Amino acid sequence: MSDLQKIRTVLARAARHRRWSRAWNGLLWGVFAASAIWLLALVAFKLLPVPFAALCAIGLGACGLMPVGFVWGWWKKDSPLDTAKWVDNELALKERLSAAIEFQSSESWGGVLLREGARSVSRASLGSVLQYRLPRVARWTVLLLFVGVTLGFVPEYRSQRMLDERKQAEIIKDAGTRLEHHAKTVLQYREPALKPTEQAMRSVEELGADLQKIKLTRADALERISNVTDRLKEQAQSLENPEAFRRIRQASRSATGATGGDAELQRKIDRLQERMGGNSADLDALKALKKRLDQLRGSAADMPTGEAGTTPDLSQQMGADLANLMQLSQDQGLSLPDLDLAMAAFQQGEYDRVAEMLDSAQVDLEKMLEMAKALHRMQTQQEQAGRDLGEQLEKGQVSTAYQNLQEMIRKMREGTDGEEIRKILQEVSEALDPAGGYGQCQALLRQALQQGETGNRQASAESLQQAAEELKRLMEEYGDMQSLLDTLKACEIAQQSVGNCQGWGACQGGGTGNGLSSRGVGTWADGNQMWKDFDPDLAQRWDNSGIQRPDMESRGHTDRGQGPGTEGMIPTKVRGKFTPGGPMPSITLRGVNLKGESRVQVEEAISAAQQEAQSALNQEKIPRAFQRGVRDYFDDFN
Amino acid sequence: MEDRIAEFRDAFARVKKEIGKTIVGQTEIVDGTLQAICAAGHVLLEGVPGLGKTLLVRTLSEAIDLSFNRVQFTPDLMPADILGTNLVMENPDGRREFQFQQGPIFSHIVLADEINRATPKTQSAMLEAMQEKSVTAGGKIRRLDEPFFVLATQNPIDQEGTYPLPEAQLDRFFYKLLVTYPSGPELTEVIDRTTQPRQERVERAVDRQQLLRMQGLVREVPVPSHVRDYAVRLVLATHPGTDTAVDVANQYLRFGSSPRGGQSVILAAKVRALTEGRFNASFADIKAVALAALRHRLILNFEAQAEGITTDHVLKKVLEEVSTSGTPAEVAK
Repeated sequence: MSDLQKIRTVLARAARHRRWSRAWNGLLWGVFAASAIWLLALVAFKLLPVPFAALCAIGLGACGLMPVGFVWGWWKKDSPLDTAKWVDNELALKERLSAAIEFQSSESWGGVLLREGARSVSRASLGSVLQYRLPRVARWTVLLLFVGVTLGFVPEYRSQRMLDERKQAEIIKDAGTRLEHHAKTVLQYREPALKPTEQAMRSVEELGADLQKIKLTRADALERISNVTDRLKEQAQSLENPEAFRRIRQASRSATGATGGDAELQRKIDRLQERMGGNSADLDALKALKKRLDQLRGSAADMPTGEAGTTPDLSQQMGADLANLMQLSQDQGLSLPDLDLAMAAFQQGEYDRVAEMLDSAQVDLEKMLEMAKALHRMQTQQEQAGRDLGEQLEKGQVSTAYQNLQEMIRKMREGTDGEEIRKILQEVSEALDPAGGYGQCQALLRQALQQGETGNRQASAESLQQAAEELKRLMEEYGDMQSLLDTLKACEIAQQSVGNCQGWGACQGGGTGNGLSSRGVGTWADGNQMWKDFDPDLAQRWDNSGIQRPDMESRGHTDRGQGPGTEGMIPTKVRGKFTPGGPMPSITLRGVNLKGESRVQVEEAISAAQQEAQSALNQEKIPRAFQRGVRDYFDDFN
Repeated sequence: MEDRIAEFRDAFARVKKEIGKTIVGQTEIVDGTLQAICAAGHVLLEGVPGLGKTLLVRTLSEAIDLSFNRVQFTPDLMPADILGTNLVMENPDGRREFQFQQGPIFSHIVLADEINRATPKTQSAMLEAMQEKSVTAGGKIRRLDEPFFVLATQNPIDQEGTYPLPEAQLDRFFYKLLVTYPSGPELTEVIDRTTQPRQERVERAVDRQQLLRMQGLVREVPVPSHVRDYAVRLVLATHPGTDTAVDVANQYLRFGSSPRGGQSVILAAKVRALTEGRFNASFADIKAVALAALRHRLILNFEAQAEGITTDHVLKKVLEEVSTSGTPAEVAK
């Protein structure tokens, strides 16, 4: 191998190493740059109102610098002369290699220089310099990353104004979401009968969408909500029929209800009876049966395990009770297969299994009891429903009255006998007065009565049909009215929420008129009360007023530390002034009665008061929110 | 080629050895003087009296088979006293005619002792001789015999009645060497040698032809382009007020090095490479010779003089700040 080949071999190896080394350094520089950028972004995020998404985007973008640094380092390819210079420098060869490469073609000096270069390369230890080392920037990178991670635990600073604005925006958006959802639900499940009502609901839906999409100030949002509210109010006023709606509303509030009607109620009763096995069990008998079953379960639980522990008397008594219970259930027509299984287990002496079967039987019995209660309630409703058209109109049971009228029309048109027609006309004549508040209904009924009395059945049936249509129109208008009122309520809540910068839940304390109390800790169902309108009876069950929820108690009484006080309640230390802008925090302490004349030196009195205050503080008698204020107050006496 | 280089190193070592017979220590001064002679350059030796400057030059002339003249510069010394003059002489025919009488400058080695004691007019008489290696007198140019060296000395103290060398003349010196006090062992050796009856005799180690061959070889030594660029960047870095100047030059220099400085640095680096057995100049050579080759070419400003800053201080900072990598237009800061 010639001197030149020796040198070239060494230089090729060094060039390869140098390229990868540069790529490695480029990667680390990329990490450093990414760390620095991310740290700057993090600092900016902590101090300025930079969105979190922007921080993430900057972080991801900065990560891209790492491969860029690697490629940038790897891309550059050194010439042999550059590599020779580097090897000269690293091995302190005093430019022997670079001179050999540069002057290799020189006639007089080329050979000498190449020989000298090859000799110096063979003497030097190239392996010592061909190592991958961490550049100095790696230390700074570690430092930056450490600072960045540490900074991650530092809470970001946000001005109160910005927090308010952000909260405001969230509340506006939330109000928009709820309004849109409300409008959509109404349009989907309670489709408005009238075009203007539908248009009004669409405007609410659009308002909700706008509040979500467009960044609005509080004033603008309130103005928009107010405009839509006015439109809803106008529409509601145009539908107002005080007398008819009052009666319908009363009917809906009463236990009988006005929306279902006899037929629907009957269907519910039939369905429930079918589920109960085709019989209508006596509620009192079921309660008695449940009581007996509870007693028997207690006896079964007290039975000693194993035959060795049982006495014949106990066993005999239990068998008798079990047989009585089975007889009672059969008398009521109930199907409790677990009782049969319990009896079988008893006969085989498996008392543990008896207890299990009795437990299962109790569960079944409780379900039956619930169904029996519901059935009883519905039957009561059915009994309370109006018996004739006049009574139905009087009670506001418009749906039932409508069905009743349809039945009358059918009979009139089918040509029933004169006695039946006379009864119908009699019922219509009695319904004239109650029909007074139902628009044209009274006039149409009167017309039908006159036509019926003159024997014009078809005309009378037609008039009755018109009266039924009038009632149907009123029902639809009432439905629209209810939707509008609900939506108006939602808009009012939205206005209150946006105007007071409070959450939606905090603003619906007044309830929605469905009978729910505003008190209580609330449930998951309170977030969306729309569905309750469809079954007010079920909604009754979720009133959890009076239920204690310690885990949801306010801060300050738990180990979560002292929570942030509300504005105006944060004690402020102001020397030499009393109540400089707010009420002075005070608390009644048990102590000496101060009535009468005191002859104690003021210094002693102050000292005693300070000691008492300190004692009260030490014994946690002072609420935490006021402790600092109390301490400062008494310290100021010194 | 290797034979020529070996001959160079051998001759250099022989001369150094002969000088070592009379000069104790002062290795840098001896090396510097020999490097300048190998590069055909003139040397300015600066040091307090009694440090062996004159002895060094005289010994050098004895070790190299060259003619030697010494001129003691004094304020009343005239140019003609150095260069020579036309005298009215009677020829064998009895006719009178002007005949040029050569001055002491017509020698291979001229020792200009205490050169700063002569007036600028007299000092300037050396300019043509040092650069052109010729003397013009009576309208006629007379070439000086090669090789020609001026080895000047000057005393940094006792400045009263002295005339600082003009910049043009300073620039013509290849090296300015600062002769320092000898160390304790060196002084002991000096005393021992000079107070004994028998003294070493200096032998002639190199003849004139051999010296000329050595000077020719020096100029052939290759300098890698990046080493040459580094020397250029060093010189450019001393130019205050330019883009290439380093901060210290802008702060303390009124004028930087001339191109002669760059030439001197490269030539000196070549000589040093040869003396160390290498066949190319390196960065280390440039750094080693930069002070001696450039220190007398920098003109300090008032701020530097007021603060007691020397050109050596400036040059050391320049060497620190100028990177060995880059192009001539770049000066790492």
